[in-house]
Amino acid sequence: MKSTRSRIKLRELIYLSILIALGIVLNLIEPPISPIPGAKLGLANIVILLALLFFGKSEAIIVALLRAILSAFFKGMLHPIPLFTSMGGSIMAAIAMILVYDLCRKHFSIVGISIIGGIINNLTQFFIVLYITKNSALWYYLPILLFLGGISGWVIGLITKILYNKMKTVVKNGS
Amino acid sequence: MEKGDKLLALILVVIFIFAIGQYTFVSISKVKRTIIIRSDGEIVEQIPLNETTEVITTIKSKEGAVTMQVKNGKVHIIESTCHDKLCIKQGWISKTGESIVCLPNRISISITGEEKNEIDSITY
Repeated sequence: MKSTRSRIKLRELIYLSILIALGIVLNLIEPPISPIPGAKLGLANIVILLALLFFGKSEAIIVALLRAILSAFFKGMLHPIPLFTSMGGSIMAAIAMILVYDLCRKHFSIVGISIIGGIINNLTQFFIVLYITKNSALWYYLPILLFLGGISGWVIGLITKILYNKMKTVVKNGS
Repeated sequence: MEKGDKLLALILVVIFIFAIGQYTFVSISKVKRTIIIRSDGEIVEQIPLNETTEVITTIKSKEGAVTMQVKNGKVHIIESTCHDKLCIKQGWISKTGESIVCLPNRISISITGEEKNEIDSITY
């Protein structure tokens, strides 16, 4: 009995490690979307959603935190301000997605949860930039940022849905 | 599609219509434009912007410096000490409401409709 339990635990650990590694790589190789400087789709959110769907909320928050910290290491010499902005955005988005999934998953599909994550990510980054620059003129960009956050969340949600359906049988039953 | 998803889709459509409306309104409004330059969260320079303004100036902050060029009623950054150079990649801005932010240097350049005084600029 004990050995089966530890086997399940080990398998979970391996899957979570793979998810974190995938998240780091996706984040590193992801091309920026022109014409907006610095804007990205947020492919790393896929692994957070997968961890949430397959394993649960505490596992998802671990994946989100480790992914954000390790990504920062792999990116090398980064200035603290943009680093803090991007980390703040992705961690707040992960917390929002986990909360929505935990509290009201009946009302939202995985695509809906991902849209919320995309919006919260951009909203958090917006307020950090607003706080750092103290430039009230930036409110001009808020509507388009929220819209683009929602659209990228939608795309990410669709990708996650396809991946989840394909991985379901493997992850849940084991090989 | 669940109930909440439909609500989210509706919210996105509303935001999109609002954004389109806002940018159309701004691009057709003809007001006197002013370039407001902020460094470390404070206004350091204000330059009236029109078709004949020609300025090249370097803005310093505690973190670094950027060089800004104003030409043909448009503004862009030509040099920056930051790593990502996103401010340079952004290119030209010319419309009221538009901004260029150099986050690592804590410098931001905005085009506004009217001149502002120091006190009411700090809203956050």
